[in-house]
Amino acid sequence: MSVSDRRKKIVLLDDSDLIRELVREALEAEGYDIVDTATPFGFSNLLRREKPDLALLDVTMPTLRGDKLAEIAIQHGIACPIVLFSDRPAAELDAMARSVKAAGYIRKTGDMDEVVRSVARFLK
Amino acid sequence: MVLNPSHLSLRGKLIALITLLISAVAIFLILFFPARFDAFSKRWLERRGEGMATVLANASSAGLEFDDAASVQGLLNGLAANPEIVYASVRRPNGTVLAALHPEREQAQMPSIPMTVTSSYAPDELRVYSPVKPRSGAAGLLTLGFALDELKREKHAQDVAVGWVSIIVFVLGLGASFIVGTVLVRPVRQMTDVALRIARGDLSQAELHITARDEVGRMAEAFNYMLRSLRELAAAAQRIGQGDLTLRLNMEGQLAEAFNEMVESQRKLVGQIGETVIQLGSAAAEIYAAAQQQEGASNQQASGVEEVSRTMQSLLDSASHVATSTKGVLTAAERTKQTTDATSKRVAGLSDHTNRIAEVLEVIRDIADRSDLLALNASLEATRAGEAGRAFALVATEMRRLAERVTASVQDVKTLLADIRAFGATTVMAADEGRKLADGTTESARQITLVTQQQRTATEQVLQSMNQITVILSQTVQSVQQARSAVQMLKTLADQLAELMARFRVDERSGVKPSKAA
Repeated sequence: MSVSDRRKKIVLLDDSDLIRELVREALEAEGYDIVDTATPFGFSNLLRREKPDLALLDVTMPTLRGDKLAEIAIQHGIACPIVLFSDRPAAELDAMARSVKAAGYIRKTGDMDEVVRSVARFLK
Repeated sequence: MVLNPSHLSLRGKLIALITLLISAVAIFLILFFPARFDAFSKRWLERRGEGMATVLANASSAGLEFDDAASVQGLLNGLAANPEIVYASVRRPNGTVLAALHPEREQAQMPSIPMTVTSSYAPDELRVYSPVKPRSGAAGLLTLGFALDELKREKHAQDVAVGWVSIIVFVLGLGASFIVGTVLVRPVRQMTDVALRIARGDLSQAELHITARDEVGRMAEAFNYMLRSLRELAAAAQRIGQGDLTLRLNMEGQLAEAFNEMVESQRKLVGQIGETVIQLGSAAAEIYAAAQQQEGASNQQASGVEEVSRTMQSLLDSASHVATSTKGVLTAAERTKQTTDATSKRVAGLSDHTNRIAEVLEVIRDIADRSDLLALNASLEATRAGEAGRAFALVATEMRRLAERVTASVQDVKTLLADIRAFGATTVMAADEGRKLADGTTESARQITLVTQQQRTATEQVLQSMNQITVILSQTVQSVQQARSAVQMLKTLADQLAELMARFRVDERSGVKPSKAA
């Protein structure tokens, strides 16, 4: 994807430093602005403040599950598309995304190219 | 008692003012007109007297010139018909009386003869002096005395009339002032009533209907304008009270400006509070969800610890069983060792016996060998002896057979003994093995007991720790529950706050956006 007039901004929430680093590198290489955080607290307010084009949200986190967090954010009027980002089975993620009215899901397969393609698809 | 004019009502003031004015008019009437009338009537009397005196002086000048007292007296007598004239006299230049009418009434001293006709007032009369100028010779003096009674009567009547007029004017003026005061003050009083009701906060009354074009009318108009403005302000305040912060007053002036400024700052404030409430709401929801998740995790942890505790307890029970069993094994092993030792000793004894049996068997075999040899020799001797030795030869043969059988039996017994010895050796070895095994078992059992004891101690410590962990965990669960309910309250409050904020309208589209969280 080419760098457009306005760089697209993506908020990434994952409790794993490694995943955050990997995804940040992969997406920044594609010309996205990345804002990442490890804590689920204040996620909704972060989205309100940053107004990103997309939010990637880890599901399995010790303090607060990502799907629950997405549900809260959507219920509190966050319009930005929220995408669940997890290594759980696709069927489970699909059901989860539908249940909390998230925009969809991206599976963590270790294949960063696939992640980048999926992000581009959601941003279209 | 001091009458303070500021305590009087407007009507009272008006009435007092008009009364004062009318009183002034009345007093003026009473003071000015009688005085003026008095002066006028006096002047009129003077002129009349002076005119009369001039005419009389002219008429009597010839009588004086010729000292004709009779003609002058005749002239003066002509005056007697006039009741006003009290007295009259004509004197010669030397002061002697030429002619006089009622000279007894004349009391005044004779003055010097004036150049022209003059008059002067005495208390009850007017005295007029006129020179009587004959065509030749010195001038004489004509004196006329006019009574003032008539004049006084007239004046009194005049005074009474003026008094009545004044009283009528005063009374009429007073009435008029009451009416005027009332009429003038009525709209003011109406306005006062309205103003009082407005002051009490009642804006519902109708507007004033005063059609007059004067100041009072304009004041009423201004009043109505003020009422309309206040109503507009009140309506605006009501809408603000209902939460609509989008309105602006289209009015001029400091009040409207202050009002608009107030609404604007309130709108900004409410907007900021709304933003904060939205943020608070989502943050509270997040914390609440996290607390729920923590509560679940704590409960799981607690049940996990409980399970571990149970496992530990059963481990402790098993260890106890193992200890008991090991004790049994130890006892059995020791008894086995003792039994094996006894067996070994007996087998050793058996071996001794077997050796001695072998020695005895050697002796028996030796004896049998010798017996065989002897029997052979006996047989040979018997043969040599012939017939006589035949019977003996038979015995010798039998003896040889016996000796051979003994030797064979000894051989059998020796074989048996060898078997017994071999068996004994095996038994001794087996017993030794058994003893070693028993020793090993005992050692193992001791070690098992020791280890089990250690394990029991360790397990007990673990169990104790687990119990402590359970206590701490249950406290943790309680804390987490308390935290969860506190956060739930916070979330509820945040939701309520958001609902409250939704009642405010801060822009044209919508107000503070209500967020309905589950």
